[in-house]
Amino acid sequence: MSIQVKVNSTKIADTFAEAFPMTACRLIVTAANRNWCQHCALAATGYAASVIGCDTEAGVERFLSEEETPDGRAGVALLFFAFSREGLQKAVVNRVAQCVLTCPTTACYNGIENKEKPIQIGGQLRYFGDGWQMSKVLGTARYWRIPTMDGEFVCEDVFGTIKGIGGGNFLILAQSPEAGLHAAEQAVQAIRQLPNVILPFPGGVVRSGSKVGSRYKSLKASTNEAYCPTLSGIVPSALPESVRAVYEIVIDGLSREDISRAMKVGIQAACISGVIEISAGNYGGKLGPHHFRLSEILGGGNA
Amino acid sequence: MLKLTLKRQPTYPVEAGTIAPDRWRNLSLPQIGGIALVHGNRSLRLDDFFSIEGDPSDEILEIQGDCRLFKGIGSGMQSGFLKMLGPSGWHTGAFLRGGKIELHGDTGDHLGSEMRGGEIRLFGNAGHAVGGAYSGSRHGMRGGTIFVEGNCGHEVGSKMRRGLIAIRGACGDYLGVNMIAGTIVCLKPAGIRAGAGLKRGSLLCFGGVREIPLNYRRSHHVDLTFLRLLSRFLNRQGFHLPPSVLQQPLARYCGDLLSIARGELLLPEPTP
Repeated sequence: MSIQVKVNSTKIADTFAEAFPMTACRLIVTAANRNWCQHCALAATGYAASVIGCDTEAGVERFLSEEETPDGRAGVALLFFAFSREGLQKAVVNRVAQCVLTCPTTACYNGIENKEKPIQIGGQLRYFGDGWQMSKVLGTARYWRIPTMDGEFVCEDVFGTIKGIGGGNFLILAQSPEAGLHAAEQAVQAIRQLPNVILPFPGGVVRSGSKVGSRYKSLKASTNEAYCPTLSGIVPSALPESVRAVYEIVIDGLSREDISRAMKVGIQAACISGVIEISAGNYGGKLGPHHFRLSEILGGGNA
Repeated sequence: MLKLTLKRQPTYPVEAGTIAPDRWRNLSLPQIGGIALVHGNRSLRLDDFFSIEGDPSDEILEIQGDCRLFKGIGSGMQSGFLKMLGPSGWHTGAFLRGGKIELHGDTGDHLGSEMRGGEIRLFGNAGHAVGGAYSGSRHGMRGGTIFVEGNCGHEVGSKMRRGLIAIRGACGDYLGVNMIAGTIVCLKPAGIRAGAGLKRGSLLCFGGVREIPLNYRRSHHVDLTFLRLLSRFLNRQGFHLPPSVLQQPLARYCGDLLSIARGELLLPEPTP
């Protein structure tokens, strides 16, 4: 593997991240204050790290000011990704039903203008109103008002979807777990400033990078032993001699440009003291049509 | 933009339902001038009443003059923009499906009756049955938005099925009578029997009603999220609600109990 690019003193591997098309939607959740937005966001995007084992990949895009929300209250933008529109609708309906509808003072609105291929959320949840729900059409949008014990839950009828990308990633190869984690935290902090992307894993960081398949038939994915420092003597390792820990940053975004920008910002933030190399996860280009070559993302030269 | 200027007042009401900018998009000025208008029991030409100038291709039509005897202007319009500078007659914008109508001057009865989409903005007073149903019809307005900056007559939104009517002034009696769904906002007092026969739908009478209907039941006061959403929507549409209106405590009445009682009447909380 030839090294062509460096950021600070960190080598950038001549490889690419492989990502997949996914269907995405954005929920704007508002509540009485930011505290309840946060409670709701954490619940609604919980257990949504990877579609390998979850119904959706989800995360907080950003918190919204009162001026940015449809009802003038504090809000939060959540992004959800799934492999199909049907799967996305099922997952989001369940999550809104259990985690947004139930959360005090909340309301839920569509955050993607394009409604050509919508999924129905409020239109599914309205039945909770048991006949007392009310439909309201304002402009081109329909809202459902469902009576609840603290007043009412307002939810938009349909939500727009968009063809997004899931699985943009890069690997931080560090000389110690402490240095690797610190670099990962820096990358996460930088990426979280950007719109249209989420980091679906806990804290935005993955420590259990996976490969496709397993020696056990029932498993779709298993540990990527080539990047496990503890196995470096016994399996063909992808790790340089001085690497003692690897952390992966996984990015889902609404477009190729969004992923590229997030990877660039994240890599630049992660290239700090103690980080030996930045690499990326791929499957030889056979599984995902979106390839993000690290050298191209970083501009092709020493950054 | 095509401009019609009234040059001769009709003696009798004129059936002017053919006047709509989207229908004239592909016509020449002589063809437009030859469009028939029924005046009393005679058929006359459009250019008997109006001087015509401009280009109709962009679907923008401006009409100047006192047109209160012209009935049904803009009715059934599907797209484009119609602006009237001066009073307009009955049935203006009735059966509207799209586009926008802006009226600078008072208008007659049945403004936007049975409309299905689009927007009507009236800077003046309206007659009866704004967005309502015609006699014998099952539904009134089924979509779209009507903004009235003045007062309205009786039976606003009768049998209304969907959409929004926002009135800055006062309303007559039977506001939202037999309303099926939709939203009516009225900032000044409404007359008697508001919400009579209401099935679903919302009547927001920020100025109160002359009498609270007996067949409504008061529910507990709550801060409705929908009100915030609605006020933001109205602000975006240029229909600003004064802060005093939004800050006053509201009482919610459920009804009409003589119907299926799924509707709501929001009124200012009575002062003790």
